[in-house]
Amino acid sequence: MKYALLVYSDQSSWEGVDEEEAARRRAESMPRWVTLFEEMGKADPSSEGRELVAASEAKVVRMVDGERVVTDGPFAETKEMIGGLFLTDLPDLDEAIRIAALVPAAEYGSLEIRPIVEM
Amino acid sequence: MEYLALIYSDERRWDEATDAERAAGYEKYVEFANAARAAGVLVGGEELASTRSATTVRIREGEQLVTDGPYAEAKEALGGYFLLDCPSFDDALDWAARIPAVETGAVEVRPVHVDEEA
Amino acid sequence: MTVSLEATFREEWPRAVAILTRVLGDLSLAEDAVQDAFATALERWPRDGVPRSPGAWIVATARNGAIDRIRRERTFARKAEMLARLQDLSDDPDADVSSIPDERLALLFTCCHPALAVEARVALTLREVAGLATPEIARAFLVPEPTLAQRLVRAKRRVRETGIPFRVPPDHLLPDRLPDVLRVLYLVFNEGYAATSGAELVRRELCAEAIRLAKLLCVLMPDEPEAFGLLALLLLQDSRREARSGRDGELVLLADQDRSLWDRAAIDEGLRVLDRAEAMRRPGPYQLQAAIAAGHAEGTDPSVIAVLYGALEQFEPTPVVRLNRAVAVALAGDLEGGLALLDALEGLDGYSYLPAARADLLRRLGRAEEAAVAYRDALALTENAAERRFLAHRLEEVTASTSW
Repeated sequence: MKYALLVYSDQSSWEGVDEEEAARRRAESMPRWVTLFEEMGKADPSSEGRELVAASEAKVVRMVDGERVVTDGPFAETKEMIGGLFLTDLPDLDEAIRIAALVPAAEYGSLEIRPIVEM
Repeated sequence: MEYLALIYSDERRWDEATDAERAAGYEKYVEFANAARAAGVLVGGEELASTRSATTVRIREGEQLVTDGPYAEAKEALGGYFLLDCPSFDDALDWAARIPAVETGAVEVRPVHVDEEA
Repeated sequence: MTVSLEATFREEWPRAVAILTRVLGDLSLAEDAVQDAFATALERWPRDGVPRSPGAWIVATARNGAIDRIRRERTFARKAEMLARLQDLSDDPDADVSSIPDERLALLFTCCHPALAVEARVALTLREVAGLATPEIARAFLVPEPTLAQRLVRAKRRVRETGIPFRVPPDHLLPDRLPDVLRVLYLVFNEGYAATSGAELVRRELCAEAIRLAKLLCVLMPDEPEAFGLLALLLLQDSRREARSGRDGELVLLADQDRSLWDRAAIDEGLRVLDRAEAMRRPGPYQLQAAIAAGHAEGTDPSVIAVLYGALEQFEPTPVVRLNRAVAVALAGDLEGGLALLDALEGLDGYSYLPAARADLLRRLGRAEEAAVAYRDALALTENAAERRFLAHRLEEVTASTSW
C-alpha cells in the first residue's frame, strides 16, 4: 500500500537560526537520518521524499470572486507545520508506523501517515 | 527548481458530492495534470485518503504513541499535492492557480529545500 | 432463539469471523459472510437440529455463501485470489473445527490495534471477539444504537483503508501491542464494574464478558504472564462486586465492605491464576495490580501493599499510582511519610482524591484545621453525591474537634 508520511514540527525553534547553528543541528541528527534512509530504502527502494523550506516562506493561492489572491505564509495556523514528506510503498500500517517512527521529527514533532488513493 | 503545491479543501464537500460531481472534479484534476505534464513542469502528485484514514505517530520520552486521526483537525484538510519543477516561485504560483482546489479551498506553494552542497 | 443456540452462536461467531478474515483478508467481507451463515443457521437448526459440528457447519456455509457472492459481484482484481483461497477452505460441515487454525488471537489484536480510537477498539472487540450483538453493546455503553452501529462501520472501514494487518504481531512488536489488548479488556471490565446494581443487566455483564475474553487470551497466549495477571486482577476485583455498593447504590470503601459478600470462589480462582503468572518470573503492571488486589482480599500487611505499589510505580510512574502508593505507605503506619509523598505529587489538579487523601492523613495526625481545609478542597472538586456525603461528614467531624 502506498503511504504518504507527512512530517510536522514546530518550526519556531528554527527562526533566526544562523547557518552555522543550522549546520550543527543537521550534523547532530545525521545518524538518525542515515538509519531512516537505509530502512526506508530496504523496505521500498522506490521511496521518495522532499524537505520543504520554512513554512514562513510559503505562499497560499486562492480564487476569490474570480480574482487570484496570493497571501504570504502557510495555509494552516497551527503550532506544528509541515516540513517535508515521504512517499513509500509498504506492506501494511505497522511497517508505515515503524518507518515513520524513524524520522527524527517524530521525537519532537508529529508524523502523519496517510494512505495514497490509487487510481 | 522544485516546488510543492499542497492542496487544502473541505473534505465534507467531497463526501457529500454526487458521483457526477466527483467525476467532474476528477476530470479537472486530470486536465491540470495533463497540461502540467505537457509543459514539462509536473514531477509528481498524489491524492491522499481522507483524514478518516490518517494515523499520527509521535515519540515522547522514548515511548511510541500512535493515535487515530491527522495531526490536527481542521475545516480544510490536506487532500493531495503536486510536485512541480519551475524556473521561479512566480511560475510555480501561476501553475498552482490552475489547480481546481483554488476555487473552493486553497493551495499552499513551498519551495523544496535544497542542500547547500547540491 | 433458545438459550443454547444463543450460546453456540456466541462461541462460534469469533472463530468463524477470524477464519474467514484470514482467508478473505477483509474483516467486513468476512463478517458479512458469517452473518449470512448465521441467518441460515437460525432458519435451519431449529427445524433440522443443531449439526454435529456447529463451527464447521458455519464455516462451510460462510465459505459457500462468500464464493457465490464474490462470483456475482466483485471486480476482477482480487476476485481470482479470493476465490482460490476460499476453495482451499474446508467445505465439510462435519469437519473437526479444531483442525482449522485458530485465528481468534489475530482477530483480537486487529480489533485492538493502536491506530484505532479506543472506543472503536472496544466496540469492535465486543462485536467480533465476544460476539455481542450491536444493540447489546450499545445498551451496555449507554450509547444510541445507530451511533454504535456507525462506530463499528467506521472502525471496520478504517481497518481496511489504513492497512491494519490481520495477524498476531511479530515478537518484537508484542511488548507494545499486548498492553493495548489488555487495556481494552480492562476498559470493558471497568465499564461493567462502574455500573451500579440498579443498572441494566447487560451493563453489569460486561464484567463477565471481560473475564471470558481474558480467559480466552490466556488460552491463546499461555506464555504471557501479563495476560494471566490481567485475568487475576479482573477475578479479584469482580469478587467484590456484591459488597461494593450499598443499599442506595452508593459506593462502599474497601475497608468498610462486608466481607461475607465477597465471592470466595472468584478470589480463590484469582489467586491460582496469579500464582501461575508469577511462576513465569516476568513481573509486569497487571500482575502487580493483581497482587495488590490479592493483598486486599487476604488482609495482607499494609507495608507489603506499599512495597507492591512502589514496584508498580516503576512500570507506571503515573500520578494516580503514586497517590495510591502514598496512601498505602500511610496505612502501613508512616503517616508523615505518606503525607510527604502526597505533597510532592504533581499532575493531579482537579482530582478530588488527592485532597481527600491528604485530608484523611491530616485528620489521623490530629492536624484538624489543615484537614478541614483539605476536605473543603475535595468537596469543591467532586459532584458525586456519595462522595460528597462522605466528605461532608468527615468535615463535620474535624471542625467539631477544633471548635470550642
